[in-house]
Parts: sequence; structure tokens; C-alpha cells
Amino acid sequence: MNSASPFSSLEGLGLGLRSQHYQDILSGQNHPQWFEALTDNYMGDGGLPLQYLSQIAERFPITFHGIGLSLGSLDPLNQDYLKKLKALVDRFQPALVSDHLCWTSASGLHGHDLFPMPYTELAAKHIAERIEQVQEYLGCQILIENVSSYLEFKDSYLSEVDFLCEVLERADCLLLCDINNIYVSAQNHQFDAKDYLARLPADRVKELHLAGFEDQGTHLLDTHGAPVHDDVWKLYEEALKRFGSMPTLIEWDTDIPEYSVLLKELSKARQYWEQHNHHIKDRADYVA
Amino acid sequence: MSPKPESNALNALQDKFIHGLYQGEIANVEALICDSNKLSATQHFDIYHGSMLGNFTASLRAVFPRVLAALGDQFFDALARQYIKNHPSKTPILDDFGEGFPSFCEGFKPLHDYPYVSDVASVDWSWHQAFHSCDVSAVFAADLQNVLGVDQANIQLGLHPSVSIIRSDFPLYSLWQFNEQENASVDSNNGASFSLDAPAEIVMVWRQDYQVCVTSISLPVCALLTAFDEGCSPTQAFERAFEQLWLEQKMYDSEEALAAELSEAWSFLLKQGALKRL
Repeated sequence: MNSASPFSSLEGLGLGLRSQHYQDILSGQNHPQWFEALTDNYMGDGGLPLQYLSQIAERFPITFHGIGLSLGSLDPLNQDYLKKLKALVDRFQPALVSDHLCWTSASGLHGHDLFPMPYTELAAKHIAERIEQVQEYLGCQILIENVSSYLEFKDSYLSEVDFLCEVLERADCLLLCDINNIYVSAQNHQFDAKDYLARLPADRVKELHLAGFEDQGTHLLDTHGAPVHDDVWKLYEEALKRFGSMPTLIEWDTDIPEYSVLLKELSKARQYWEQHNHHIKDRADYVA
Repeated sequence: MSPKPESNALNALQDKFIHGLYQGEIANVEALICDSNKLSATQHFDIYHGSMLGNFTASLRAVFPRVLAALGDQFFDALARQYIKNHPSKTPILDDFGEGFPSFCEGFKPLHDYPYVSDVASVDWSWHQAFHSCDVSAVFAADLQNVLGVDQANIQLGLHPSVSIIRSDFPLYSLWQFNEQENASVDSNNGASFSLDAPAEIVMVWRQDYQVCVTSISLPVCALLTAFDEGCSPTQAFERAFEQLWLEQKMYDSEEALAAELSEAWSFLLKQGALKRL
């Protein structure tokens, strides 16, 4: 597998591209270093979304993040979806392509939501085989994102992180590590988020995600509709220590605020980056 | 391709879960999902059920804004829930979900007294389709003047891929426009009202560059569009439209009057960019 992929390298802080902000992005001054487009929103034959994406891709590096591959499903990979994804990848040459460690469809029915896998050896083998097929088809490695989850299947006997590591190794794919999702699932299922981070293979992590959740009392819900929570920022600090200054994205999908609110969240992420880099420099100076 | 035998357990789990999501419950859910300290297996499942319904409903609200305006939030959401349950998504792309919504509205008993809603839904769906349709250059009058070397009467034209025609028994364009207003009500004494007794209208939806357009069209425009859609050349389209309108409609005073209306319809199509060259 070509680990370099046909894509250029990605650096710095990015924002999730949302249609509400197209005009701000094309007319404003302060911008992130890159944008992440939700692939499924650009699978139409033409029209305004693709036109805006073209304009933005001319000015900024972009990544593609999808939910429709349904990698963990027992249904055959949807060839029409794959073709559309490949056409988008060929046209826009994104720096990274990602989907999720989950399934979204079964028995021909689609739920358009991220359903967790039962964490078993068999399921790991199955999803890894599917990821390999997608990588083969696209001609590059893809990133798999850990999802927030709200249930555990009785069949599961592996921990989520062991399952994830098994899939990464088997499929020889990369990891989009969602810090918020680790925190949400850790709270919902009572596992140690720092331990989860510590056990991830650092060499496979190529992007981090940050977003906001809502506390529903009985569980945390990953709504992507609130500022990043303080505890998630703390976990992000740990992630920077563990993985280095990794490209990081701020996601916001519901109750989407003005562009300036997102830029404010981004500047907060930048502060953590700078603190981390100062810390690294201080250590290097001390050693020197 | 059927799953490998060793995948049967995984297949059964996914099949049970996805059908459960659409039906709203899973029999013997405790055998599939763990209880936790705070939530029962059913409550864990309900989080996903609620989330899926919310996603689908939000998507239908976005795609059918005029139906939402016509029915109000509560009625629309109840209609959406029934549609979702009875017409599970068969596509991996959420934007493609909702194609069957207009015909579902037509057969939905609580909408029996609102027979125009399915036609409004068809216009909304056509708008959505036009918005995402292929970027193809339309033919305008000036384009035809620039190809004088070609036999214009027999030039091959077809409908622009963004074009939809919606025929209705109701004043559909007026209804569609009317439902842009807040607190709109049809045949009501409260607030702004609208009468269904107005003449029936045919609606055309299409895209000019990146702008989706909606308008009412005349019978001659509709007849020409139908003929072009069936592969007719301009000459054939005129002949077919003339024949159909003259013989079937019998509403024109003279052949000259009909010919003049067809000529006007042709100009309209070339002005609006509703055709493409094949």
C-alpha cells in the first residue's frame, strides 16, 4: 500500500467545511490552514456545492470525511458510492480521506448514523478486509475515525481500543483520532480515556478531531453542536504530547454558529499547539 | 453475495438492529445489548432510534420546506416518522432520501383533505434534484443563431438535466409560492388564505447557472418540453405539440392562434435555458 498516497501533506489547524460559511471563507481574511469537506454532501452530479468546493479547494488544502462507506456492514460495499468517492478524490486530490470505524447499513437498509461494531476478532477481521478493499480501489491509505457510542453489544469481548488497534494493524490503514469521541465513549462506558490514548499506535495517527457534546444526564451525546468541553481540551493536551503537533480539526454540525465562533474555537486549539511547541522547545533547549 | 458462514452472527446482529431501528423496538433486546449502571438495554437502543429519526426528519424538513410550511412542524414530523418507518432508506447518501415522499403524501390518510400537498412535495423534490443536477450548458436563442450552418429545424435538443415538469389538478405554482409565507393556510379564515378553486397550473423547475428557478408554464410550453424529452427535433416537436393541443385540447380559436402560442412557447424555452443540445 502506498502510504504516502497521491496527496500532499497536511499541517496545522482545520475547520469542518459547512455551507453556511462558504461566503465567509471566500471573502474573509482570517482562516484556518485547511478545510475538511463532508464527502457525502458533494456526491451530487453538479451544482452549487461542488462549485463552492472547487473554489475553496483552489485556495486551501482539503480533506474528505465521509460516513457512507459503512465499512463494518455485512452488505457488499456500495459500488455506486465508491465510484462517486473515487471521482471526488481524483478531481480534488484531498490531503486525506477518512470514514468511520462503524457500520451505517445492513440488509440493504441505511441508517445514516454511526453504529458501533461488536468488538470481536471476527468483526475486526471483517472490517479490516473491507478497509483493504476501499484502499485498493482508491489507490491510497484511508483514515478510520473512532466513533462515540451509546451502547455495548453483548457479543463484544474486546475493548474498543484493542479492537481499533487490531483493525489498524490488519488493514494497514491510518487513524483519525477523535478526542471528543474518546472522551464521550469513555464516560458512557466507564473506561480510562488517557489509557485509550496511550495504547494507540502513534505512527498511524494522522489527524485529530475536536467537537462539542451535550450532557444528557444519563449519558454524553456527541452532537457536534457545542464548544469543545474543558475535559476534552485536557485530553487534547495529552494527545499532543503523545502524537506531536498533529493536524487538528474543529467540527460543528448542529446549531451551526457564525464563522467567527468557529475561528474562536480554532484560536483556542492554536493556544494548545503553541503551549505544546514551547514545551518541546524548552525541553530541547534544556537537553542541548 | 451472501455472507460467509462465520459472519452469520455479525449479520444477524446487524439485521436485527437495523430493522429494530426502523420499527422502533427490538424483541428481546437484552440478548443483543448490555444494560449499564444508568441505562437499560432498551434505553441504550432508544438513543440510536431517536438519533436516527432526528437525522431523517431534519433531512426531510430541509428537502421539503414548502410541505413543512403548509403542514406545520408537528404534522410534518408525524408524517415524516410514518414515511421513514414505511420507506427505509436504500441509499448510502442521505441527500438521495425522500424520492418517494410525494407519493407517500398522496396515500397518507390524514392528508385526505389536503390533496395538493403531494404536488407541493413534488415541486420541493424537483427543486432539490435541480440544485444537485449536472452542470450542463443550456441552449439559448443566441446559441442557435450562432450555429446557422446547422439545420436548425432538425437540430437535436433535449431537456436540460435540471428540468422537471409537475402537472397538477390544483393552482400548484400559486400554492408553492403561497407556502413561502409564514402562517399560511389554505381555504382558511385565519390569516393569509388561498383558494383551491383557482385554475390548475403546471410547474416547471430548472436551474439557470446555479440558481434554481420555479415557474408556472403554459400548455404549449409543456407540450414542447414533453416532445423534446421524447427525442423530437424542433420541427417534430412543433408538429407533435400542435397535433396534441389542437386535437386533444380543442381550446384554441384558430390554428393561427395555436401556432402563435407555440412560437411564444419556443421563445420562452430558449430564453429560460430549459433545453440542451444532444
